[in-house]
Formats: sequence, structure tokens, C-alpha cells
Amino acid sequence: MVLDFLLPSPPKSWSADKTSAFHAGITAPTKAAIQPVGRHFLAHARRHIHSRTFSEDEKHVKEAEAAAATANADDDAGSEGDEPEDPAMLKRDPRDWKNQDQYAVLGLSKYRYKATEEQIRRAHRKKVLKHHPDKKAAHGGLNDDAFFKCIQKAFETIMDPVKRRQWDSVDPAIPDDVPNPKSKQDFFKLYTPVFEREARFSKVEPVPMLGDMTTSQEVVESFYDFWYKFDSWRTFEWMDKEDAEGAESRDDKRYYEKKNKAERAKLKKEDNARLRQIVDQALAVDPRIKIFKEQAHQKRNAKRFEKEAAEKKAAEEAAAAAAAAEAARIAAEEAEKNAREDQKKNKELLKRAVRKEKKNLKALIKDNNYFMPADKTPSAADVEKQLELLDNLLEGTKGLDQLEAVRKALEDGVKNGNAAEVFSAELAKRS
Amino acid sequence: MSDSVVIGINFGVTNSSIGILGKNGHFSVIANADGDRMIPNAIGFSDEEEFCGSQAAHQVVRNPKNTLQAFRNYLGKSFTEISVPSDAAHPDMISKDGAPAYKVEFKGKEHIVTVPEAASKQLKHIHEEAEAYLGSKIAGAVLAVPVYFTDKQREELRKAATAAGINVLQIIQEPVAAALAYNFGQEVAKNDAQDKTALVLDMGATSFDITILNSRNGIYTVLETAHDVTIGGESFDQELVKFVAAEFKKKTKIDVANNKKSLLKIKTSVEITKKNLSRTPNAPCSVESVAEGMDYHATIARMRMELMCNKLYAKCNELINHVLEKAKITAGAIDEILLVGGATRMPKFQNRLRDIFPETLIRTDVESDEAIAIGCAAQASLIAGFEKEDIEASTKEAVTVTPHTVKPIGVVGSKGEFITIIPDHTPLPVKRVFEFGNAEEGQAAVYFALFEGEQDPLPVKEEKPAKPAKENDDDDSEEEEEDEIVVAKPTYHQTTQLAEVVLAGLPAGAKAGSLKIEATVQVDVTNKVTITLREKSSGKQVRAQSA
Repeated sequence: MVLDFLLPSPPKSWSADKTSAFHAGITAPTKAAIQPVGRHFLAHARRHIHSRTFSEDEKHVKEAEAAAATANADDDAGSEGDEPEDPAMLKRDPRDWKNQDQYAVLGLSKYRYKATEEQIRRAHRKKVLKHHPDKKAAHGGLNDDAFFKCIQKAFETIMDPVKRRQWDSVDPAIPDDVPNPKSKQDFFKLYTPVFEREARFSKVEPVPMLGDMTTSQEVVESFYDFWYKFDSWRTFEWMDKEDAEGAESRDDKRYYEKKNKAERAKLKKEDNARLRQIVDQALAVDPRIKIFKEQAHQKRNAKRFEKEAAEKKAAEEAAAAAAAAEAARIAAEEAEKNAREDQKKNKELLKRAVRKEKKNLKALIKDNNYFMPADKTPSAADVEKQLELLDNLLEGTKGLDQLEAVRKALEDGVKNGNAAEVFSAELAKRS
Repeated sequence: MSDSVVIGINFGVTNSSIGILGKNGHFSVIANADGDRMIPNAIGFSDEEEFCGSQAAHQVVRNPKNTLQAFRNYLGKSFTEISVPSDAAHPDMISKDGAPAYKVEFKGKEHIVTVPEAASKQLKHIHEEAEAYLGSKIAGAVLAVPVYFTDKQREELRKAATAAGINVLQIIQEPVAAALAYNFGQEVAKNDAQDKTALVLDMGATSFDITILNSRNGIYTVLETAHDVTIGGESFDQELVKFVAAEFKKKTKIDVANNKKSLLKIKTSVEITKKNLSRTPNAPCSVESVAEGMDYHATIARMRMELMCNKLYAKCNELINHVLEKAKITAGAIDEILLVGGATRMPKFQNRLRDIFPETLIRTDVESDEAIAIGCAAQASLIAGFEKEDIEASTKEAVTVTPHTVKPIGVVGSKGEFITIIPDHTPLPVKRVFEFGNAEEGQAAVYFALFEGEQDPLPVKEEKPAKPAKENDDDDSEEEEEDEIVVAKPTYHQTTQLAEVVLAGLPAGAKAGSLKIEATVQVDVTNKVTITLREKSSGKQVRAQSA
């Protein structure tokens, strides 16, 4: 709103450094009811409820409108026939109409077999308005109706359902290729467009589509079932090499027709084989089929697997038990061997100790005058006799401890001076 | 929105109407199976059948005791609050649990029909008619009630409608619905302050409602309202009935003043005559077998009717003046007059309005008796896609009761006059954008001062000497009666300075008035004032916000 009001310069008293000054707040507002009606109120409520400012709300509304507009734009019709025209196409010879791209001529390249009759009519009308010879002449151009003829031919072809099918069957703009079986690309990305493309030839509608990883087994199976039994309307009349209608005689005509028919049959056979190959390949690499097979396998052999697992478990347990027994046996042997060796060692030690004791005793008798009375020098015979007695005593004493006892008694006797008595007493006791 | 068909229902006292959004994008009122766009609010009980709508209205002369009419007046009221007319021409009323109820004879037995039940029956009839016309289920409806309806009455109506199987989207006020139908103040230019006031005159069959409605940026506020149940289409009918009865007596010497049945017959005929007189200067009136087998045939001139109804017209104007005074608004402050109700079609009524509002635009572009239904339909289609909770959330007090400015906010012009930017009673938050020029050549800075204003006292109305009504005078006297009333918009003067803002560094060498300075004044709900000054060509701006 433009006000007829001019803004003056600031008053002299205004200091240059400040830009604003607030003197008073507005008078406290009163509460009053507004009528909850109309779109402006709705905007108010929106702002209030979402606590948005005016500009925020405007932005939201605009965004919502834009979203709605784009949603509508998809079904927005009327753009058919507006495609840029290839200059080479405009120069085509209308006599060669069979080889022209019937859809491109009408500006329907992006629709192709999906173009509806309504779209075709609209596109044709647009093209005619543009390329009609009268129109061209009016604009000072040459009276060149070549492309107009192309348009009419294309329109005739596409509007005739039989001819349209013939053309659609051989439409060169749609590839016929079989995907590379070794392709590493994602299965669904690779095959979905292929099946979508091939579906157009189906006599049966609707055609099941590939789906995705989550598709159930039944659906997947019915999909492959459908595609193995695929009933195609694809025909190859368009490819006829010979023009049977133009034949001069009946015989010629028959001959040409026969030839054409054979050719068509061949192409059809090839096409069926091609489709079969696609389906075979898809089935072979379909990750879902693999999963299903795995699952089926699991299910079918569930019992066997169980049994096998049980057997395996039992065997393992037996092996473990055997190993344990073996270990125990080895341990026992070891212990036995050790014990034997110990025993042997002890025996040896004992023997050695006995020998040592005997030696000690012999030394003791030798040192103590052969236990003869002290005043008597032992004669050789006495010595012999005393040693014989000692041998007898030693023979009589069994074991190390008895030997030790004897030795101690004798030692005590030596100390006390009555060794000879002790000796003879011991002799008497042990013999 | 074919999936959600919504309608607007004007549930009046005497008549109801159904508004829909047509396939062509226009709102229209549909006719019921009997071909009536105005569906009479009547329920009749006979020995065999129960009638609703037009059929019930047709049999009222034969069966007045068992025909319920004008039950909306009793909705949500207790028995003691209402005055019950008890005579041969009205059904008997009793008190049932304190609430009024009708005692009728149906199929030879006595039945008690409560007022909400009657309303529910009628609403169900309307709903069925609408579904039959549209051929699809109705997802919801917006209903209208008078401004003076209490919450209790609204609740009763909502209950009755729900009982009738109607999904009530919203209940709005009649004058507001009418304003929507007239699209009053809805075309808001962006950043433009639209402050419009309308006088909604709703003359129904039995009441005259006046509402002063304000629209600020398309949001409506009811400023003042008044209603008078003694004026209405039927009071004009009564005048005509009296006249016809007197004429009949003059011709046949039969007095029908106490003959209810004869009077009813006359009333049915004069109603048609009255409607015709709105269009033609003369209209025939014929009543067959008024009494004792005597017919009445005559032509009534519009002038004659206007003369006999002079008092009623005067009463209307009195009430309008009363409302204006109550609202402290001059006639000049009214931008538009919206006419609602069939009775406002009377040429004399519109002429008399000119006495008060010589210049004001009187809107007649919407059929006046369909405006409310159309407004309801418009509102219904606006909220049709919403969830019920959203609608309820938006009509909560937190949203519908907002702070409003008390005093106008504006600037003071060079002659010291106050120029309003944000008028008083503007709901907050508010944002207004204005454009100013610079005052001098080569000005380096502009100064913007914001003021709060106060309304000047209204010009004193001159009391015109009351002239005695001269009914037998000739036609010209009518014209002389019309006084010239000075119509003035209210004026304001500055009171408090609110803020000063300076925008410096303007482009040099601009001629006086050539720079365009855009001032944005915003007041949010917490009374915070934000001022932004922006020079349009250089984009230089300054923003200041109050504490």
C-alpha cells in the first residue's frame, strides 16, 4: 500500500549514531473473539497452531502448493507432439514410409507403444497444423508435402490396430537384446526393464512383473510359469521382403506369400527362442529362486540332516571317550613305572646303607681290638674267629634298622668298655 | 473433492436451505424433491403419515394442531423461558423434564415430540434431500446459527444434527456465513491493509438480525449485534392479512378477524403477493373461499403495501441506528451492506436504508435468502479435507480469542493529521507494509515516527424532528421525509509517540518523492513492535525492535 506521505529528514536533535528509539509500548491489547471462518482465518489458525510467522507460513503454503502442482503435473496431458523434430526425418522420402519411425514422425517417441488413441489424435492434429502444405505455402515456403505425407502414413499405421501391432512388433527403437548372463549388475535392475519391455507382446493381461526380493515364492513361481507359457502376439509381417499384393500373377503371389510366411515363421521361432532364453537366464540367476531352492532342500532333507547330525554327534562323543580312556591308561602306566623306579632306587639305597652299616661294624670291631678284652692282643686266630662271629651276627641281623641297632649297641659297648659283652650278647640274640 | 461431498445447511426458524459446491465450482442452493429451494421447517403428523418440509407446510391449513413449526426458537430453552401460543392454530406444548415438547396426534394416538427430536427429524429430512440430490453420501455439513445463540443452544443443535446422521464439521454464525457468501473482505491484496466493515441485515421470516462485521485481512470480527423478533417477513404478511381482512369485510360484511382458518388462508396468499410486489408495482391477491364460501380477488399496489408497513420500515431503521450507536460507528464507516433473507428484497426496505446510508454499497449480488446456506457450503468446502480434530483445534478459544489492539497505530502527516497504519481492534499478530516517499531532494536520511492514536469524538447526530406518520398522504411526502445526513468516517488524532526510526545512507541526488521507502510494521502477540525501513532501489534497510 502506497501512502501519500513523505518521510522527512530526522530532526536536528537526532544523534547520528542511533537508528531507533522506542518511547512507549502500545496500549495493552484486549482479548476479543474472531470468527473461525474463511480461508484467512485458516491461515491465522495455521500460524497460531504451528507458531509460524507470516513469511514462514507463506513459505509452507507455497511448498505445499508446489508439491500439489508437481503431483498434478504427471497426469498433465497435452505435451505429446511437442518433441523436437530431427531435420533428417523432415527430409524423408514418403515412398520409404515403411522404414520411418512412425512414432517419431508424430512426435510420440517417448510414448511409443504406450501412446493412447487420444494422445495419437492430439499429436497428429498438432503435426498437421504445423506441416500442412497449405500452411507452409502461406508462410512463403515451398509447396513441399513430403513430410506431411509421412505424417499421414504414420497416423494411418498407428491408428489401424492391426498395422500398429505389426509396427510395434518390429519397432527398432525398442531393443530386443538378451541380457548378458555373466553380468554382475543387480538382478532386478537388469531384468525388470527387460520383462516390462517384453510384456507388451502378451495376449494375456495383466502380465506379472518381476517384483523384488520380498515377493513371495508363490508369486515368483507363477511369474516364471506365466513367462514360460508366454503367449505373444508379436508378428513379423512388417519385415516381409516380398510384396505379395503387387505380384503379377496368382502363381507369383502364392510363391511370394509362401516365402513370406516361411520367413515370418522363422522370425517368430527365433523370437520365441529369444524370449525363452531371457526367461531361462533370469530363472538361472534369480537370487530368490536360489533361496527358495535352498529352503526346499532344507525342508526335504530335514530328517536326514537331523539323523546325520545325531550320528555325527554320537561319533564325536565316542571319540572323545576313547581319547579320555587312552590318556588315563598312559597316566597309569607312567605312575607304575615311576613307582617301580622308586622302589628300585630305594632298594639300592637300602643295600648301600646296609653295606655301609656292615662296613661300619667291621671298622668298629677292627678299631676296638676285635671286641677282645683290652689287655689281650688278638691273635690271628682270634681275629679270624671274631670276624667269623661278626659275619654270623651280620647274617643274623636283617634289615637296615637292626643293623643300626646293633651298631649303636656296639658303639655304646665300646664307650662303656664292655664291648665284648655286648658283642657276645648281640651275637647270642641275633644268631 | 469428489470423495468428500460436503454441504452447508442454513437451519432457519421458518425455512431451511442446502448449499452445495457445484461441479462448475460455483456454490448454489439445491431444491428439494418438491422443487423448493427454501424448505419449510415443518413437521406434520396425520392419521396415516408423517410429513416433513414442503409437504408438511402444505397441509398446515387443514392440520394446524399437529403441525410443528418454528421449533428452532425453542431449541435449548427450558419450558419456562418460552411463551407458548396456545390456540387452535398451534400445536399444544407441554413441559417434558423442563424442556418444551409438542403433544401431537399421530395415527390416532397421542405422541410427545420434544423440540430436539423435531429439529432432528427436520435435519434428517434435509440431509436425505441433499443426498438424494447429490446422489452420494455426504461426508459432513456446516450449520449456521444466529449470533445470539447460546452455547447450550449450539450444543443442542449439534446433538440434533448428529442424531439425524449429519457429521457436523462446524457451526458458524449466520452473518459470518453470509459475509463468506458475499466474499466480503476476502480478496486481500498482499501486504495491503484491508479493513472493511459490513452491516449484515438479516430479515428472516420472524426476526430481524443486524450485525456489524469487521474484516481485517479477511478475518472476521463481530463488532455489534442486535435482533428484533417483532420484525420479519411475517410481520409484513400480518399487515397485509389485516388489510385483506378489512377489505374482505368491506366487500362481504363478513368479519374474519377471529377466524383462524380464514386468516391462515389469507396469509398463504398474501405471502405470494408480497413476494410478487418486490418485483412488480402491482400484484394480484386472490383467496378462494375465505369464509362462508366467499372468495377474495384484488390487485394490491406496492405503494399501498409500503404505506401500511411504514411503521415496520421505520422500526428497521431505528434498530439499525441503535446498533450503530451501540458500536460507536458512524454510518460512513460501513463499507458494505450485506442483505440476507428474502424480506430484504423489498424495494422500500432498500430505499429506506438509503436514508441512513446514502452512499454505501448495498450488496444484492447473492440471492439474499440463500446467502447463509452458500456461506456454510463455502466454509464446508474449505475445511472438507481436514481431520475433525484439526477443525476442533482451530476453533478452540486459544486460536479464536486473540489479543486485539485497542488504539490505532499510525504516522502523523505533514499537516499533523493522523494516518492509520494498524487500526484499532486489529487481531494480533499483525504485519502491515506501507510505502512512503522521501520528502526533500538530496535527503540523506529519513525519519519515521510511529504514534498511537485516539478516535475523535463522533460528530453529533442531528436529531430530526419526528414527523407524525401520515398514512393517507400522497406519495411525494415520502421523499420529503428523507433527511440529508452528513456521513463521516471516524477520525483520529495522535496521542503517544511509540517509536522513532531513522534510515540513513540513502542514495544521493534523488528527487523529492522519487525514493520508495518500504516500512514494515509488525506487532506480535506479546505487543512487541518491529519496524523495518527499506529503500527499495538500493535495498538498504534498518530494522528496529522494541524491548
